[in-house]
Amino acid sequence: MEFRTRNYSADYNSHVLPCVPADFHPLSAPSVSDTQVLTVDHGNNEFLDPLRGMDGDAKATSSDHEVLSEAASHPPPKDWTSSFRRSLQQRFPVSKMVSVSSIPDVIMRSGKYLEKSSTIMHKEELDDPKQFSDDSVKVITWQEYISRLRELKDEISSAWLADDRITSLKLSIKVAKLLKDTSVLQFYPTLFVLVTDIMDMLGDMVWQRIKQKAEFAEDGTVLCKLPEDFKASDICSDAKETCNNWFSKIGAVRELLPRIYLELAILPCWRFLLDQPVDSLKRLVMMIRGLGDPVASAYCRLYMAHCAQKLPSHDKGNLVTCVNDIGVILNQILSTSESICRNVMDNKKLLVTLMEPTIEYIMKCIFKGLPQRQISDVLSELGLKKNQQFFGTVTCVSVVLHHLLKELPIETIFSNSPEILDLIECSKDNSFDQHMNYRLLGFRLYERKYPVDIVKAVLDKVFQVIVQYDSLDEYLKVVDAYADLILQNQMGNFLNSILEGISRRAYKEITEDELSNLQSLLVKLLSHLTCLEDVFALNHFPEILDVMHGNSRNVIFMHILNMATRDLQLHISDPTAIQLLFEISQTLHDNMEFMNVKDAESQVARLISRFVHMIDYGAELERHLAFLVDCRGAFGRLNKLKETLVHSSNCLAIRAFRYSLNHLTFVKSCLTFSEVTIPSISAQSRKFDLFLETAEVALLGGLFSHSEGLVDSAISSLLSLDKMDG
Amino acid sequence: MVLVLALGDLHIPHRAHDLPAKFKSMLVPGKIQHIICTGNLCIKEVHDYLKTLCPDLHITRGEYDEETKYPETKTLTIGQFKLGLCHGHQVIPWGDLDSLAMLQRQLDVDILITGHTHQFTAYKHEGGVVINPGSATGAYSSITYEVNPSFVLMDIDGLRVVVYVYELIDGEVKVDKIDFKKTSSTHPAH
Repeated sequence: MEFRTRNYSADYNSHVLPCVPADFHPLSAPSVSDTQVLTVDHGNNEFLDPLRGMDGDAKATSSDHEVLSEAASHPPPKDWTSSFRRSLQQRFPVSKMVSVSSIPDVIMRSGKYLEKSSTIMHKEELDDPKQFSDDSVKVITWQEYISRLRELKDEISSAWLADDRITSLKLSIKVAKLLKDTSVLQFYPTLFVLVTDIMDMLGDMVWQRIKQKAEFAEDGTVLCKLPEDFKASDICSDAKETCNNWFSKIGAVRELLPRIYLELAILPCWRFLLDQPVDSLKRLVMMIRGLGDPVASAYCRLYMAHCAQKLPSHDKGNLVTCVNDIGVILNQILSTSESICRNVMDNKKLLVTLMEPTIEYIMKCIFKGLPQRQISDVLSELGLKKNQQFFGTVTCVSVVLHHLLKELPIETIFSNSPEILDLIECSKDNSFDQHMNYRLLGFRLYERKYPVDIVKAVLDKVFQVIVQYDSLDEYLKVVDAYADLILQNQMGNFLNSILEGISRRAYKEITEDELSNLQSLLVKLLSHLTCLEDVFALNHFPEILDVMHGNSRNVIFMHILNMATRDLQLHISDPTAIQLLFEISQTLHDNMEFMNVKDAESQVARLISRFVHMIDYGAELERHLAFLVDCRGAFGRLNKLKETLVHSSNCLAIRAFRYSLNHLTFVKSCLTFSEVTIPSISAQSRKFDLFLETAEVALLGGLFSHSEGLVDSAISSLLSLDKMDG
Repeated sequence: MVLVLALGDLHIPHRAHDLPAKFKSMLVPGKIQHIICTGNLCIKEVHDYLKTLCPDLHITRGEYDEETKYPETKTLTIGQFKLGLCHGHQVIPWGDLDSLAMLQRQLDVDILITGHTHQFTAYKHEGGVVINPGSATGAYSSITYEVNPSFVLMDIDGLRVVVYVYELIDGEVKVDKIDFKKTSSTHPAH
């Protein structure tokens, strides 16, 4: 058989289409405003480029900005109160048992009480039964307490529906009395939530009763339909009389605390009698001062703030008075000498912790919808301002200051930042850590962009204070909050101070909390840097990295690797950088299963693949191949990466063809590397592709026997392929 | 004026990281009405990128494409021209005009676009045209490693097509053009 003779050059010359240089072509810039050109995706020139956009996922967002978002957002409407109540119960969870010295009769059904039984005894009681044997202490599970309260709620409601309003009121009084008992402090917030729920229900029922009386006569005829903004003059005398009776009945309750709670519950009913019941709140504020227990009085003020929201309008000065009164109580609690026993100190800490939510809520209510012009008045009433000027060295209870800083509008904070800094510095007490107030200020200042000189003045002051902090935890908490400000304004000297400060304080093993703050800080830092050289230029960075461990370290390493491999067009050729990134990759590879990252293995494989792609040893091809061998040894668990190594090895062989004269030995080394690596890859279809590609490279080099062997291997892997695959 | 971009054999990320920056800056969305791709992208991200340039994307499967659902051949009509698309590794000998001519007759098209050799070629054959846009990234092929990145842009206007050839040589984009007029007979002689 003879093959047809072919003259390829002649064929080419006879069939080729002649090309001429084009002076103009459709893709020349600027883009032609051609009406015939269809705009296919919104006509914009900024499009997401998946090839460049493949590195998106690894950036973590700082979780500490929950403080920022809490401070900056307006109070959510309507269901805020219920979510606040829920958060109260979550903040102060209750243990199984509630031991009270005398369980109120209203909780005990028919006067029976629960005997101590082995099934519900505390473990401590089992250990030391003598302690409790003679006592009249009774125990009850909190679930039983709560279910009894729910039953009471139903009883009050059923009695009301049966027109037995006297019983409803009597039971409500008994329920309100429960809030006198603060013996189980941890349980008090939950008790408050449950009792006030019943108070609100009673308040609603009374309101509806009086409204009905105002709208309908005894025989059911319609008298009028009250609008939303009805006036006291719209109300008939019958309804007014009923309303007065209610206030009288409640006014006759002997004990102070239930009397206050019940009057607060029906506070909105004053509208049936007076258009502007301004004195009621003021009077109630004074009455609450009569409550001796600090926790009971604080929560009573909290309920007052809640009930005041139901009025169409009210003087916020009353709420400010509440805050001041709580402040006075806190000062009394805190002004004890330090040489008292630990139990008492712990108890005082618990008191402050319990009272904190009340300050938080009341402060929110004060600033909710407060016009700018009234802010100065509020600050004056809080004792912080006079004649538009902040006092020089006034102090404030630091927990009160904290919640004030959370709620103040950002413009006020900005225009008074030096005075606020002084205030924080002077307000040092055990109610709240001073460094947390500095931290809050840092987050708040980041809400807006401000002139550099103002930012610098604030930072100078803050750094003067924190340089004296010995504790790494406190230092980190503050610098983390100012990191964004520093990075945004490119204040390198402050950054250096921070890194030096951390390095000096991190001489022992760091705690989880410190790790988390350090991670947050470093993530912010790495997000602002553009290349690895910038990372190397940071002082003390390697020492700081060394103290990190666990998941936080992995997160930082992922960020570094992501940043270094952001632009695939660049090359990494610096040996120090290669070594650092290699070690970082090794650590990530070894800790993959411990990482709290979704789909950790593929993310790590992707990052390390990008790193391998970017390595360039220039003309030192053998060195490059040795690097690939090291990678294969170090990253044995990542199949995707092994595929990358084979592709890199084949590309290396191609480069050898282009650059080197005596290349055959090296090419054989590359082919051997590929041939040895491919069988360790688990996916058969990938093996086939890689064997085929390697065979093509061998063919390009004229290594026919190698090529044949690789094609045989490719066919073998094809035979092993499950028919269902691909 | 209907612009049709023809490119292929990118081999991203196995043999090349990305399209050359100078090519990428020219290829912006909204300019091109159709994209025909000979294959060997090889990954989904490249498909997604091409989709951002133009939603009317036609691809045939290369031997290394990870997506198994691309067809082996495709035909489409743009204006007065029938276009055929195939990767080309199936046509033996690779890049041979006579063998490609067989495929052209089989698909019954005026313009046949194939790749695989990573070398730009444009032949006329029996009233039709056979074009190979080369490799848009300059990746090495089974035949050669001396590859300049290239792609083709066709401007179809009635019976006339102007084929612009973009080639990156020593860092600079060189643009040539080929003018081709279709004869009035639509069926090539057998």
